[in-house]
Amino acid sequence: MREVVCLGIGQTLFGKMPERSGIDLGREAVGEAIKDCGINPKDIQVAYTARLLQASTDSQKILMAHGIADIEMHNVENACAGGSSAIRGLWKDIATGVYDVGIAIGTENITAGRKGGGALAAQDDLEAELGLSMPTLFANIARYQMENQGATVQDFARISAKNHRHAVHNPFAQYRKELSEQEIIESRTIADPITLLQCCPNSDGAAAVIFCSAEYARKHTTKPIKVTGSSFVSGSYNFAQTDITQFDFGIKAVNLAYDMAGLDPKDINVVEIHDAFANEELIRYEDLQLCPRGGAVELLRSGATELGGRVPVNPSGGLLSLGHPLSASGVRVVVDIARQLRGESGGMQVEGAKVGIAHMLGGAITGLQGGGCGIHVLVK
Amino acid sequence: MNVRPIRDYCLTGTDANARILADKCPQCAQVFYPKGADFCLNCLHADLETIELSSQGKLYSWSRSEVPTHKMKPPYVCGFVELPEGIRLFAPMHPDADESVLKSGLPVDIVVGEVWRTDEESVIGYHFKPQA
Repeated sequence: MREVVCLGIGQTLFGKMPERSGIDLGREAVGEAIKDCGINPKDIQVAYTARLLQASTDSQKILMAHGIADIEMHNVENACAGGSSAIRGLWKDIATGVYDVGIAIGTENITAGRKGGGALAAQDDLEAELGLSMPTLFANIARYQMENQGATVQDFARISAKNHRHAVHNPFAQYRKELSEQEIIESRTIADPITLLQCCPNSDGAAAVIFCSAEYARKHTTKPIKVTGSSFVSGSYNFAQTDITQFDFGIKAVNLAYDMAGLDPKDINVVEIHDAFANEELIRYEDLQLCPRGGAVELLRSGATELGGRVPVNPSGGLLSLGHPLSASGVRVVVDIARQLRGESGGMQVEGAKVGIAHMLGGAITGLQGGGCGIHVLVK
Repeated sequence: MNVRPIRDYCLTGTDANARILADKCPQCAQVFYPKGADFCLNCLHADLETIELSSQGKLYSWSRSEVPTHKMKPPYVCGFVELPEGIRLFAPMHPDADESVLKSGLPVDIVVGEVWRTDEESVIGYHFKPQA
């Protein structure tokens, strides 16, 4: 396999923009990514676009506005992890030498033509009919964490407060306002113990990345950001799950990507993860081996995952405060990590960051632990 | 009023004494609920036995939802119940039950009954309820 370089990054503002289509948002993100690396758009040989809602030949429609047509193009859907699928497809094409330059796009408009309320499971899902939704699932997980793993509501509020504090520095974020732990705890209950300010918002937005071979990158940069690990694993069966905080497929995805990259988890400087609900961050600390299993609450309370700590998690503000335009998020986490490793993250910069992890996970399906999880390891 | 089970395959009947049906692999002993396939999804053994799940288990986790899901109206309590067959069954709490007594490991009954109704039909599923 060849070395893969993350050459160009772009994203739109995240927020409620019902007047803008997913195509329009995608075109803006692509324009930013092309401008960011200064390549000739005609060099792009392959494209993947992820979208969950109202998708139809998105790569073609987005890229035709940038002078890009009659190349290999694909459109993918994988719930909240769709963006990771687009990235993974592109990574494989470059790593295996099929192509030298390509683009991965994630775009979503949730607020136009769809009532809010978050991503529920499919209409024909038995457990969904009995009341299971993303909020009730994560609320049940939160209860389990409180009863069995030493977590408190204060811990969940601390995570949300941290990510909102981070997002104050993010010019792309939907919410740029500090929140106190008390405000978070006292906000409206969604599914006890989860309150409104422990949930990610409904967001619109898009992100794009341009990956290329090391040889192509040399013509455009002297400081390449390398993508040394890449994995995607679909949801494991429920019957194999030891407890509801254990996402076996997420752990497998991490191990595959870390092994590929030859990564020691101690060397990780910055992480962007799927934090649809505040309590989910605790699970991911352990999945990503930022601490030993069972050590997530202690890691949080030590302050290690805040900006200025040992391994900041979601310096962008994460899904909780930056926002979560579903399929865009899997691409956006790679954008944020690349920006961190370049040292271009402004007020959310993790000083001296050399190794970062982009994580995204999604999907709720009766019988499975989830839809899928994608991991990308980026190295300066 | 038409009375129907929430899924054709999942209950022995629609009265209060009905039991929940699951599949068990005679080769690897894995239990499946809800039904996944006609064969074992774990070891691929070709045939499965139909078993009745226990109607008593232990509360694993729970939450009171203040927002609607597409069939349930808030507020409702729902949770996971560990059954002796190794299944974690997701179910709403019986509307007559007292939420304040819930705790991890609490012995609960699984009670078959109406989970919602429309103008045309009464849908029969199951609730968990703390043991008396």
